[in-house]
Amino acid sequence: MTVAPMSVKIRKIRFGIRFKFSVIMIAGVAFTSALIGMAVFKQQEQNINNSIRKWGTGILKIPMDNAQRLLQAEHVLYSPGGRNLTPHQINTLSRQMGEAKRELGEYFSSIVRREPGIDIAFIIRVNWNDARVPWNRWDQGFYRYYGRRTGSLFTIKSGRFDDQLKPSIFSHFMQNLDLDTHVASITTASRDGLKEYILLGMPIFRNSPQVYRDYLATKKSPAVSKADRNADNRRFTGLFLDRIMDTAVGFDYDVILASQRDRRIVYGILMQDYQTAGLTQQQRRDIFGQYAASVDSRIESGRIPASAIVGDMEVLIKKHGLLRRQYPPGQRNAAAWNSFYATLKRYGIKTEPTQTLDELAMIAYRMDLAGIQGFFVTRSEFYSEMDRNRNEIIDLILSILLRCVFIAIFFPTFLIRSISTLAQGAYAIGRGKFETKIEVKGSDEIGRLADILNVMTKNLKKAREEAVVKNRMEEELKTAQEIQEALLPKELPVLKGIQFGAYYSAQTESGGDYYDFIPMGEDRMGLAIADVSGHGVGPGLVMAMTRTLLHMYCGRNGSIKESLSGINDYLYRNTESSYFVTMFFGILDLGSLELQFSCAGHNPGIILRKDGVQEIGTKGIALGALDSDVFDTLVEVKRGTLQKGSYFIQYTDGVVESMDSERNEYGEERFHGVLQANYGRSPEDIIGAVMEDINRFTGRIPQHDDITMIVLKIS
Amino acid sequence: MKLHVKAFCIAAVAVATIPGLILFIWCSVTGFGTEIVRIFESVHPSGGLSILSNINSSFASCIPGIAVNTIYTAADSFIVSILFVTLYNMLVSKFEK
Repeated sequence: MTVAPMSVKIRKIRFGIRFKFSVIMIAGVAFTSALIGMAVFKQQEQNINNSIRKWGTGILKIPMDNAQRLLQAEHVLYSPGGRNLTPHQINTLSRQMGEAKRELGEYFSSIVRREPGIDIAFIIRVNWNDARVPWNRWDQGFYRYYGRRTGSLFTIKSGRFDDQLKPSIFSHFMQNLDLDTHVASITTASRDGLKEYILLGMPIFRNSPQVYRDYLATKKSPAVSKADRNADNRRFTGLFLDRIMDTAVGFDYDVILASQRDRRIVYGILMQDYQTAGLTQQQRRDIFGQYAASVDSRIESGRIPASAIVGDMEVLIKKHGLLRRQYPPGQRNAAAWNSFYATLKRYGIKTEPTQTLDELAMIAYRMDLAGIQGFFVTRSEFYSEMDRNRNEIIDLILSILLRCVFIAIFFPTFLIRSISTLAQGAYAIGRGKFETKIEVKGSDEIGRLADILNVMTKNLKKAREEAVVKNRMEEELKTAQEIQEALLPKELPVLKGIQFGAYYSAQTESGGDYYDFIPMGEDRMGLAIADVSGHGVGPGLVMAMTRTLLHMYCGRNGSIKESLSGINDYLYRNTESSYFVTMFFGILDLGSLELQFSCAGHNPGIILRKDGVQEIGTKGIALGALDSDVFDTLVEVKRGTLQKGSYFIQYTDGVVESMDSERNEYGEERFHGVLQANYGRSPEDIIGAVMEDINRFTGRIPQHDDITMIVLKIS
Repeated sequence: MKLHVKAFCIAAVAVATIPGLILFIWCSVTGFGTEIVRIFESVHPSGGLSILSNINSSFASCIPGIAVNTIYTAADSFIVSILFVTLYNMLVSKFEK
């Protein structure tokens, strides 16, 4: 059997398992390999850098004293204060510079000869002397190289700018509080093309860098208690501020004026610098009053910028024509500024910077940085081994990656084969080929799914076969029902003085009940109602046989006993023992209304009168159950006359044995009650009332037995 | 007639890997087949875990190299066999039509 073609489209595979598996695996392996490779490179580079730093520090430490001597002397000579040096001082400093240069030159010449990797040495003098100027506004370095051959210092581009050293070394130290040798990497153009260099730079300080070392150590492991931390912060703030003020020109800070006394002290400090001998008392009061007003207008939470106090005071002094008495021209500002800070400290007036501690440390560090010395070394001297290792690692990663790509593309073949088999099988099953068996080997989930599909197919096949059989049976039963209903009276008899009513309801397609009104000449009529054991085609056929026999005997005008006996004999001999028929058969004389009847195992009939209900029955057994010798002896025929206004009712046991949902039977008593209650109504009305009551009682749940009833009303 | 992909691959991997493993062990112990191993290792980077770089040390130091090379053998034989069987089955299905 085949089913109709499916209307649902089957999609084409575009991004299948192979694609997804490959993408995920390749991406995963590539990502992991890249990470591992980068980590290995990084680690290796770090190790090499550490060894280079250690080696370079050893070389640069030796001439550090000479470098410091040279830079210190240069700072003094070339600073604004250098103009006030005596000729002797200048000569001494110049001699120091010359000696330091010569010794440095000799040292680096020897190093260059000894270490072939070292290309050229350099020294940078850091000129950041004014904290008001951002360090990177213009180049603050003065760059000089040691000639490889001559061993003497020379400068390039006027010594004010170097596009290799400034970004790689100078900027590093101006932005990082680094006390160790710094290793940087650059690529420069040479005659042979691009050449890679490693640069090493070591900072040279004007003062001992111990304070920065302590500061970094404290930052690394801060004090446990908050009080200790605050004390550390105060200590370092004071130290950094002192170092800055020792060097910087114009570095601003806040002065804490906690009381009126502090204001007067500050006023006194500032006035010490001026010649005030000629001032009158009134002028002194005016100057102080204006000073106090200026301070009051600028002070916030007890703080006032030092620049504000000094600036306002200078304006005030200028206004009153006072002369400065301590500092020679040119040195005035820097010296006055530093002197003001030192005197504040001496009088115990608190000062606080406006920057954070880290910013302050960085400023102090830059101010303290006298210069940087270092050298170039060719990169290949140190990194050739790393480059070789790097190539090997890249080979390794590519090698693994390539294999993973192949495996990722081809490995899903095994998986896809099983799934394709499943898909083909499922498609065949969907097309109605239930004999298909999906063959997938292995004990994985796909194998299990194949087994489940096979079981499902088998069950589907069985269910479909059962459905075919069931359909065929239903078709046959329907045909049998049509035949059976064709055997029942199509119309009720119409006689003067007698009204007929009948009801038949089969509970299956082919029932086993039967009723009939059989004309027997002009003045007699046979009344029959029967119930064949069971339901379905078999009982229906037995009913048809019974009807045929009954009509045959009625056609011969046979007696009731003769008819029942003949039918019993035929059924007993020609049907299975499981089939038997209970029957009420009566012959009504239409003139005298005399009714002869016999109940062959059937329930008694009912005579309904106005005053009550009377059952009329006889002895007897069902037709077809026993042979004629026994049956004939048990047949009993009775007679009775139906009175005007009475009803004769006969029915099958389906009426009184109808059950409700709790399996309670409808019962004769209730049946009789309904009949009595509807006395006087037409047969159809009585049947309608009975059926309505039965339906009400059963709640319309399906019944297992057929219901048949005939009603005659004698009017 | 088509070849069974899985059976062919397993057979090829076994045929290549088992003798390969024996050769690598033998080479590590006695130095037998050094030139073959050298050729093999020249196209199979092992990140310093090669047999030949440790052949003068103890056998234990060669074990990582043996493992790496054996894995290479298995992977390569799998790739070659699956390539072969796929191509063969494709051609067979065309010629049998």
